[in-house]
Amino acid sequence: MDAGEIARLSGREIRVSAGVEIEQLLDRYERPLYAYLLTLLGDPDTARDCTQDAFLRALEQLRRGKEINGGWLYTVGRNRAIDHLRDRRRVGPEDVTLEMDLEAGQGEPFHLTAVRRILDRLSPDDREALYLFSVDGFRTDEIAAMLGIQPGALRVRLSRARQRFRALYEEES
Amino acid sequence: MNGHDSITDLLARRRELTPDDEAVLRDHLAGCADCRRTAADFAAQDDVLRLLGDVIPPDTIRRSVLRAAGRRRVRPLVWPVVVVAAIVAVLGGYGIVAGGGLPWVPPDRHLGQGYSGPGGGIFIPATPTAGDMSRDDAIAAAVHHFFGPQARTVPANVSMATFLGIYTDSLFKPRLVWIVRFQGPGIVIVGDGPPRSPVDTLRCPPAVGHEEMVFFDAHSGAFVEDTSGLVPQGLPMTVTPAPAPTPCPTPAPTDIAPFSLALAPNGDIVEVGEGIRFLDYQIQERTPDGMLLRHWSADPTSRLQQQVTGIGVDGRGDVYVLGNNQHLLKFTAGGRLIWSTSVPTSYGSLTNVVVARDGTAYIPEGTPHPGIRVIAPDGRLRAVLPGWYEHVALAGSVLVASRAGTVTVIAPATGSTIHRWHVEPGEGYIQGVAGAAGGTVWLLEQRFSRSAFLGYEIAHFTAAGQLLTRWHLPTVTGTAEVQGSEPKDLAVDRTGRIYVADYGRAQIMVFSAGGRLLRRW
Repeated sequence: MDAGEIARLSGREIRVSAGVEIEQLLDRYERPLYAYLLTLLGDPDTARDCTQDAFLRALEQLRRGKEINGGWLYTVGRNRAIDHLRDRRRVGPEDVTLEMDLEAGQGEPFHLTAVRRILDRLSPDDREALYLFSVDGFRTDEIAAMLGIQPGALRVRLSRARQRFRALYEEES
Repeated sequence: MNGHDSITDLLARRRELTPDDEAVLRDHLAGCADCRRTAADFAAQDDVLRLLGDVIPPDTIRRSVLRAAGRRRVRPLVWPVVVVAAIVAVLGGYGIVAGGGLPWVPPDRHLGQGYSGPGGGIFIPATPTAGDMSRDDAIAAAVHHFFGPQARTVPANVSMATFLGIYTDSLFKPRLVWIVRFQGPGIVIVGDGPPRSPVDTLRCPPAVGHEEMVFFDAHSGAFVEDTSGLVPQGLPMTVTPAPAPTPCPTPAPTDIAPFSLALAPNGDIVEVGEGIRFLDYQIQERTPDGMLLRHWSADPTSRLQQQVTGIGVDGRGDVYVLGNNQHLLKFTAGGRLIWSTSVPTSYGSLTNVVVARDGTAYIPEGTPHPGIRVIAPDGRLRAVLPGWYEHVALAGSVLVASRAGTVTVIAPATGSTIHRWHVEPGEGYIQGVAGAAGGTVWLLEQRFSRSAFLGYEIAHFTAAGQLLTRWHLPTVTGTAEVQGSEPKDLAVDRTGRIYVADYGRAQIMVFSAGGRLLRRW
């Protein structure tokens, strides 16, 4: 935004710049997207790179006048994560697993270890559905769109994941 | 699929159900104990799963993205360089008026480089359009707003500046506003202001005093917001004579402004508070007479960077400290860190902690997402007791929890409610809760009449809510309140003495059960 553009701005005619919008998106989604990708990848450096890539892609879109929402960011971030896994492990997206390199040392939450251990015993599909619904608060139709499946199938997956998690949690307790 | 299966599917995605589906669900749950258990378990699932979101991303993400976006700094929100240049022109064009007492201080880090408003918004200088509120009108409105409807001019020990520009608040609704800023040693205000160390404020008043701003919509002339947060509640900013210049004593490293305190089994006082440096939170153990026995950092690994909100002590004397970034730390009585753990929250707003003799910690979350987190002595989450509370204490064998003006007495093993009552008479907001060995309850209350702040009071109730005694904190009546007193917490010892942590004046006050001030340190 240059000085001339600023001078032309007034009242309701203002259009918020892409820079301001990306900052708003960072405020809202940086932390949960990074946490999601970290859970997906298990590697802080790769999670950081994928999160950063997603926001940089979002910035490009904003500069073209496109609208960006959380679902879009997650889809881009997830695709980047799958690309990384493919490159690194030569596996397909169906093999993407939720895993976490958890330190059980000082400063780390003890009960989080148990939660991750239980989550790791779910199937990758169930795990991701449960994470996106419970941790990130997406609706089932939003998650279905992100994962490229029908909403009905996603709901079955979510219900199955919850019941399995419940059984494992009781077992763990 | 049988009926239970379809209900389970609904419970799995309950928060997005339509009202009709929710009604079907409720009807079924009313007559099905199994499904009620499933509902409770799924709700608890969300609590524990949200732990996974408790990750702090590296700041390189934000920095890189904002750099690509052409934005200079990360936080607070600031303007590009060209905007900084533009405001210089605006300031030159519109001028600045000064009160009689002080020379104007040039725009500083708040308005010279950008201003991040109370709602997290940003300000961009702009030019007026026809029909907008005039600068003189904005000044008059601001003077009335802060100094009362009778005020005509700015007091002698206060300076003033005006800015016209576009303000985008956190809801992203840009509007043209006038900002009128007041600054000077005459402004004395307690409340939500810019971060400051109360120790510094008390012992060495800054030469320029405090600053507060008020925003008006330039199109309509309507009040938008002010930085103090007090005036809209009917609490006018107080202007005092300029302080006489006095030598500024150097604060001691052990000077702290206490947030919270608890009693050790041997009768010593354990307090946690903010030291003279930013985020320097210290734990201190003192005798009941105030003699400092030992002190240590509340963040020994320097990893947490958290504001400490509560402290508790178990039957062995181990010390538990809670921070607002969800971490609970456990220390030995000598100050060695035993463990730290992340407490599951929905919004990260943990307000205080109380610890039972066996080391079980109870932590309320002061948000609508209900639940007192019960943390076992080894740091594991043991249970979540239902209910939305801000403060908790143990009174004998029961848990006492409060929110706003309501007190609930709870059975800690089951979470069931034993008593619930409201603070009476008048309007009170409970700031702190303490339990006495006999099961009675002591409250630290902020008292209001309509929206007018009356001060702080200590009240003593039976567990069933019968008022036993009530008295004003003697140092915070009338004008003394705006001198900075800000009680945060209280504790009661076996003899009935009341210890009050006064964050604002960086002191602990000790009272008899009847309200006589015995000592302070």
